[in-house]
Amino acid sequence: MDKTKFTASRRNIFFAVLFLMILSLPFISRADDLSISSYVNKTNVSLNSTLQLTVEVTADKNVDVDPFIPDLTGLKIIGQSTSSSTSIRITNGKSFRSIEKDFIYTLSPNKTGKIIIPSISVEYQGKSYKTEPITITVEKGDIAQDQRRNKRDDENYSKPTDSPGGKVFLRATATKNEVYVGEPFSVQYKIYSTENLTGLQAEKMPEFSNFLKKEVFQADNINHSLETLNGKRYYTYKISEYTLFPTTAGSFELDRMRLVCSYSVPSKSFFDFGTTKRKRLLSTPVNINVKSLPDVNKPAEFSGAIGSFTITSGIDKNRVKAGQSITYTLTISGSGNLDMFDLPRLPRINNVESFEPDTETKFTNSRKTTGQRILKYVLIPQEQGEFTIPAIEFSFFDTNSKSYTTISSSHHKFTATKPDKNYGSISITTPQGIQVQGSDIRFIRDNPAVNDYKLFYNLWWYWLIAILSVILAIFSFLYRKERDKRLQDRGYYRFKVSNKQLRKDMKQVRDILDSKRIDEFFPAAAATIKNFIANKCNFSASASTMNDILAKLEKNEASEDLKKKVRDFFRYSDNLRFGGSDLNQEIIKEKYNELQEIISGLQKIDFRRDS
Amino acid sequence: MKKISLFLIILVLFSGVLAADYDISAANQAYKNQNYQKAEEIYKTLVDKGVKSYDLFYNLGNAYFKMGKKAEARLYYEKAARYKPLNRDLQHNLQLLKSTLKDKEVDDKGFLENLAQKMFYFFSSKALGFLTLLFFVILMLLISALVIYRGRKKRQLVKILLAIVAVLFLLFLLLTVFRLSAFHKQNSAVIMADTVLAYSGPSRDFQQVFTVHAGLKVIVEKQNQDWSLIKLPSGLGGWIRSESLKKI
Repeated sequence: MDKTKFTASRRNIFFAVLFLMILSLPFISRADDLSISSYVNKTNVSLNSTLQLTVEVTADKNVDVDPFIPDLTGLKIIGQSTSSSTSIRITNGKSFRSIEKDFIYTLSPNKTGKIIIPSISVEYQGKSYKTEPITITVEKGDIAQDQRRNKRDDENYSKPTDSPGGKVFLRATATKNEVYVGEPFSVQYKIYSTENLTGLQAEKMPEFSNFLKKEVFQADNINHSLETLNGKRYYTYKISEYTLFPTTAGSFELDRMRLVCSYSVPSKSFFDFGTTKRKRLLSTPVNINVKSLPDVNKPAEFSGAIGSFTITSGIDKNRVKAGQSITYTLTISGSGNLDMFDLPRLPRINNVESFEPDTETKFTNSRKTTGQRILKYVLIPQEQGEFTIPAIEFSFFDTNSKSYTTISSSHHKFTATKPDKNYGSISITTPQGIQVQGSDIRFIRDNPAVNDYKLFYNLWWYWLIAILSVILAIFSFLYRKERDKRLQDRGYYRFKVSNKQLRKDMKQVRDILDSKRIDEFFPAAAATIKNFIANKCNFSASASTMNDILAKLEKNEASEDLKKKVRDFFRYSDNLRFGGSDLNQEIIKEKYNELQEIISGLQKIDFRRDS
Repeated sequence: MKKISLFLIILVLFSGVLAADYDISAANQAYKNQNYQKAEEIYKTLVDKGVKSYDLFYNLGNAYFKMGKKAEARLYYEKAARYKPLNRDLQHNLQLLKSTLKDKEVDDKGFLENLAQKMFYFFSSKALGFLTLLFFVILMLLISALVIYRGRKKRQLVKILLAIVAVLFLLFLLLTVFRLSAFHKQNSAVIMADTVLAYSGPSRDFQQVFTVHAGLKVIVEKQNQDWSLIKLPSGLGGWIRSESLKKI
């Protein structure tokens, strides 16, 4: 709060002190005449305010002392300054001089409750001088209470001389006394003084609740100019200036500023060496009436702009290649709460990619109420074609006409031409996420017909297949059982394999026939017949004669014709073996046919096995 | 020739069993024309006839959703889910529907639980039934082969195959049994009334315990003429009027 401090011009003090030290030499004998006291400007403070502790050292000469401040629990020293004054009393022709030195500490409490400022001591010529402890009460304090207290404090400050027209006074002036919520105005604090000020110290700077404040000016050294007020000439010291933006409607008295200033009073006689006078100043009251904005005819796009504005727009080129950028600039200029409202936004243009705009605020006056706000959009057409940037509407409350006004920028057209086909390089585009317009349920199943759902076990053929496979397994068991039984019977086996043997033998006979090995035909053919019958009847083929075979045929009820054929075949075969005859291919062929007849005849016989 | 004709006869018989068709093309067309009311009427007449079909239930659910009848849509989606629980279209629509309901349902299934569910429902119950049958037939054939074959090497091979097929058969048999029992043990219902108060007993004189809204799926624990004991996924239980819910 006490950001700015006004330090007294120390050089003056230094010279004054030096001068007084020389003068004080004759009074050394009374050097131990020193007193110390301390006081605070208020004993009840709230947590977020400050208080001042003054340690006053009085001596009959200038003493070089420094008060020792013990640990202040619950308090923090946030500022320190000194001042001194000299007074001279003449009694019975003797002059008594006293020099008063004030050490002023600005303290800020950081806890609530009763706080004791312990006694403060000063060491002087081996002696210690002490002050009485002071008890203060720190309250939490709400703002309203603070304001009341401030007011009470302010009343304590009020002195006739503070009012305009006095010797020294602090004047606060506002540029407007009646404003709308959000409408900026300036308030300026200036000291008018007939004296040349030597020091300034801020006691309390205004905080301005219910207002947003912007610092415009803050004095950092003491400079004066001359001004005439009510026919009187004053030195004026500009302390600070703020631009305020009201946040709520109502009637407010602005926070008052409190300062301590010091000025030197020139000496009036030889004995008077001049004194520095300190004076507390309270700024003059300023009342502001804040009106709320009317609700009637409030445009939908109104975003809190108050003042007087114009809108302009422009594009840097109106012909680009698709994929390249153009810059669209939207400027709002004028005066008002220039950076306190939301800017209008450029709507989406189809097939044009736009990025978050760059915004810039430029003020042309020191009060930060006039200037320009500039929005720069980079637009990239994605396809070739004609594009239109729509006009952008902007609404504000015009303080001159006291009504809402909507202004609009002009619209712009630009053309995107066919992009360059640059085959030599790869153009890099950043893949964007797919824009989702909305979600819907998935479409129906578009089969023209539905079947009634049947669980598989309701299907008769399911069980049929299962049962058939079980039956198959059962049959295989039965088959195996039967087979095993039969395989134990050798005769049965031979009976079973007789056809197999027959096929084998007949194949051999055919081979002989084909290769015209005539000599081998009859033995093979005879063996074929013998083997077949032997297998069927389970006896040894090699040990059997023609008569044995004919007997078997007889037994198995073969026809006379077949028996004759067999007998003739064997006889012919024997004759050939023993007698020899001229065999030729024709006869062999005939005999082969005979053999086949015999075999087919034999196959028809139902042989009974010999056990 | 005889064998082929027998095969053809069997095939015709099978297709006769499968092809009990119900025409829904008119309803589908009405849906495409966004005449959801008409589509719903046609689908509903088939449902009332007792036709059970995934397509029918799913389409009817869609028609109800489009008409804004969320409870009915939920009921038919859940009915469809009995036949194809993992169908992506169905899951998507159900998810969308759930997000518009008043009662939030938390799907707090873990990764493993989801995986198990996916495996359990990987085959349709029909496919499971036929696979079980297929393995059974192969098993029987292998047993037959083992009975008949006498060669040592052949028998060895058949034995190995037999072991593998036997394990597969048992696995699929178990899965099929579980699936069928899950299909039949259907005790869920959908809340049909807008706002339903649940009491701690089967009368309005009991303490009110919670409120549910249309479209919520609940488990029916007990049911008598007028009152049903329902259980919410969170474990909360309460009695509500039986007419305010419909079984899936």
